[in-house]
Amino acid sequence: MKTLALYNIKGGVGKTSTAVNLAYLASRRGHRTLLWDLDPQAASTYVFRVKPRVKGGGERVVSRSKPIESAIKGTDFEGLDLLPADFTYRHMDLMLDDAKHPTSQLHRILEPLRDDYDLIVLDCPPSVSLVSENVLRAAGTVLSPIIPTTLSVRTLDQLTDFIADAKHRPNLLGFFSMVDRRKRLHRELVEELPLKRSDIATTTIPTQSIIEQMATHRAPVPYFAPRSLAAKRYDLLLDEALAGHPIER
Amino acid sequence: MGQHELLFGAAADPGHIFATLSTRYQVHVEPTVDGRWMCLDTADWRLHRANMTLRDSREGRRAQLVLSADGNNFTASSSRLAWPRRAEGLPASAIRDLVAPAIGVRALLPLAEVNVRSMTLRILDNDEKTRVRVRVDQQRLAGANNAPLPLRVLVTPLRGYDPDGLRCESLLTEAMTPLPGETNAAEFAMAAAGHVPGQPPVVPPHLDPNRSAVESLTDVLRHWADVIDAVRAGVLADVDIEYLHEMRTAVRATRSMLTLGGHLLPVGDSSRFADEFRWLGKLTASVRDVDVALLELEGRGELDISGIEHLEPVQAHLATRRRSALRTLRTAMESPRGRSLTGEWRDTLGKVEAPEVPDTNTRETAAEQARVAYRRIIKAAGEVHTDTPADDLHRLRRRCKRMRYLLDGYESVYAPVPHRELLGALKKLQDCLGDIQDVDVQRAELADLATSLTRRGASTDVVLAIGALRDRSLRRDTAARAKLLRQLNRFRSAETRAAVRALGADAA
Repeated sequence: MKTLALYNIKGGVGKTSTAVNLAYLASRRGHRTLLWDLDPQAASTYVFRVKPRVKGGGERVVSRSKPIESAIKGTDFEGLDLLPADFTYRHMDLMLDDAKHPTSQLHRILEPLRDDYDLIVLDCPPSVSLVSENVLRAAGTVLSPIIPTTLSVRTLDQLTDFIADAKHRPNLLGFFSMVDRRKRLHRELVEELPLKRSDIATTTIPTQSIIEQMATHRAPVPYFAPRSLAAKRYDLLLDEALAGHPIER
Repeated sequence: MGQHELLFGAAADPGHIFATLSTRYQVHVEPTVDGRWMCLDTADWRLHRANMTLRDSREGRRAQLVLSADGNNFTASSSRLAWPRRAEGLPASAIRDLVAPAIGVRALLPLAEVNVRSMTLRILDNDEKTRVRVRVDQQRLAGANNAPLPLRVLVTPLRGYDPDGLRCESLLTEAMTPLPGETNAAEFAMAAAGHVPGQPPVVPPHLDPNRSAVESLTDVLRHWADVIDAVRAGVLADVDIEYLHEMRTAVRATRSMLTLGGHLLPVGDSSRFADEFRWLGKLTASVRDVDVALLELEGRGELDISGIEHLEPVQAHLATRRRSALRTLRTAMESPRGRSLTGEWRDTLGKVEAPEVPDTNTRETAAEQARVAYRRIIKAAGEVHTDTPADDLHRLRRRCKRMRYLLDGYESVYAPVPHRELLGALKKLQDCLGDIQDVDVQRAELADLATSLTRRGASTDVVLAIGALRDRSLRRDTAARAKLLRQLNRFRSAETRAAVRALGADAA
C-alpha cells in the first residue's frame, strides 16, 4: 500500500482538485484506491456527492474507537472509495493530541487498510499543526502544489525544513499548480525553480476553467473531460508521483 | 451485504426491474452491453467439490476471471487466455493460488458458455450519487442449443450503502417471484448444457441383481467402452494427464472383467478383444510412466524431492521422451485399428444374447467372482514377507486390481455394508502395493535415466541428483513394505472374510 498526501501549508493552491483527479486516475489504472478527505471544508467529499459526515462522528475514527472501515463510502467510480470529511475535523488537532501516540495516530488508523487498498490519497487541510505531523508520518510521498509565485515557493521551503526536522521523512515532490503561461513570473519560476531544486515535478498543472468545473459536474476532470489538457497533465503527474515507488499489490 | 444474485424465470421482463426500483429511487440506465461468460471446471468437477465457482467473463475489451469461494469473490484478468488450461497457465493472482491446489494436475475446461445482454441500473440518491448498482443479465446458452436461461439480477450496494442494497432486493423480491435460491446462474447454465455438477461424464450403470449375469457383464463392459470414448479426445489433445490415466483404468478394467467373466461371452470374441485391449493398454504405458516420473520431479508425487537440485536436465529429458511416446500413442489411436476398437467392441457386446433361462443371476455371479478373486489374493499373499521381490508383489497387486474393478463394476448389486468394508481394506492394501511398485519402476527408470544422460554428457551434478532421488525412493520402499504386512493381516482377517461372504446378501 502506498500513501500519497496532497499537502501545502497554504490554502487554495489546488490540493483538493489534484487529490480527486489523481485518486480517480489511479483507480482507473486498476489500483484499489481510497481518498481520505481530511479537510473539514469537505470539498473532495462534495465532488464525489457523498454526505460530509462520518456516522457517529469523525472523532471516533480519529480516536480509533470506531473501525475506519465502517466509515468508508464507495464512490460512483469502480475501485475508488472515499473516507468522507466530517465537520468535527476542524478540531482534529485536539483529537490527535488526546491520542496515546499523537504524531503517528493517522498512520495507525490506516494500518488495517493495508491489504484492502493499493493506494491511499490524503487530501490535507492547509496548516502547520499536529495534523501535518501526522500526515508526514503516514505518507510515503508528499505531493505539494505550488502556485508559481514568490510567496508560494517560500511555503515549499518551509515544508522542506519541516520535513527535514521530522523523524519519519517522506519523499517530497513539489509541482506547479494553476500555472498561467501568460504571466511572466509564472513562466520564469516554472523554468528556474527546477534548476535549483531536484524535487520539483516536470509536469505542471495549468490554470483552466475545466478544473473549476469539477464542482459543477461533481466529478473528476478526466471523467467529464478526458481529452482536456488538464486531464492529460494529471495523468502525467500521477506517473511522476508513483515513479520510483511503484504500487505493489 | 456485498453482491447478491437474484434469479427470475427466463421470461421475466427486465423492464419490470426498472419499473419496480423507480417506485422508490431515481434510476439511471447505463447503455446495454453484450458479453459472454464461461463456466470453468475440471472434467471431474474438482472446483465444484471444493465449493468454488470459476467464470471467464468477457465484455468488450474487458476479460476477467471471477472466482467465488467461501462467500468471497476474487477477480483477475483473463485477457488472451484460451481454454482448456492448467493451473500453472493462469495469471499470477489470488485466483491461481486458490484454484491450483483444488484442481491439481487437471485442466480447466469451458463446460458451459453463455451469451449475455446486460443492462446496469444505477440507483441514485437526491445528490445523484450512486448508492446501488443493479445489473440485469438476459442470458442464453451459446451454441446450437441457445436455450434461454434465467434472468440474472445482481444487486451490488456501493461500500457504505448496504441498507439501500437490501431495500432494492426486497423491492424486487416483493414485486417479482425469484427462483429458489439454492441453484445459481452457473448451475442453471451447466444444466442447460447437459451437465450435472459433481456427476462423472459417464455414469456407471445401475445393475439389476436379478438380471442374467451375461446382460450385466455386457452393461459393465459397455460402460468402460463409454469411458474410453469419452476421454479419447482429451488424450489425443493432451488436455491433462488424467485423461490418459482414466483411459488406462477403463482398459485395465475391461481386460480384468474379461479375465474374470469372459467365459460368459462367446469364446472367440472374448479372446480377440482381450488381445486388442492389451495392445491399447501397452501403448498407453510409456506416456503414463513418464507422467508419473514428471509428477514426482515436480514435487506432486509421494517422493520427497526437497533439497535436491539440478533436476531440470532430468525433467527436460523426460519431457522429450514424453513427446515421443505421445506421438506414438496418437498415431496408434488414430490408426484404423485404434479408431474402430471401441465401435467394434460395442457391436460385439450388442450381439451377446441373454440366455432364455438365466442359469445364474447377476448378484450370485458377482458374489462368486468376488470370492474367487479374494481367494486368489489370499493365495498370492501367503508367501509375502518384508523382502518379497517386487515382481512377486506386482503379481499380487494385479490380483488386487482385478478385485477392485469387480467391486467397482458390480457395486450396485453388492450388499452395501460389506462392500464398503471390503473396499476400504482393499484400497489400503492397494496403496501399499502401489507405492512398492512405483518405487520399483522409479529405480529402473532412474538407472536408465542416469545411463542415458551420462551418454549425452550430463554434468556430475545431474548424475548425483539422480542418485539422491534413488536414495529417497528406497526410503519410501522401506516404509511401504513395513505397512504392507499390517494391511495384509487386515485383509486376511475374519472381518474381511465375513464381508466377502456377505457380499451376495440381498441388500433389501
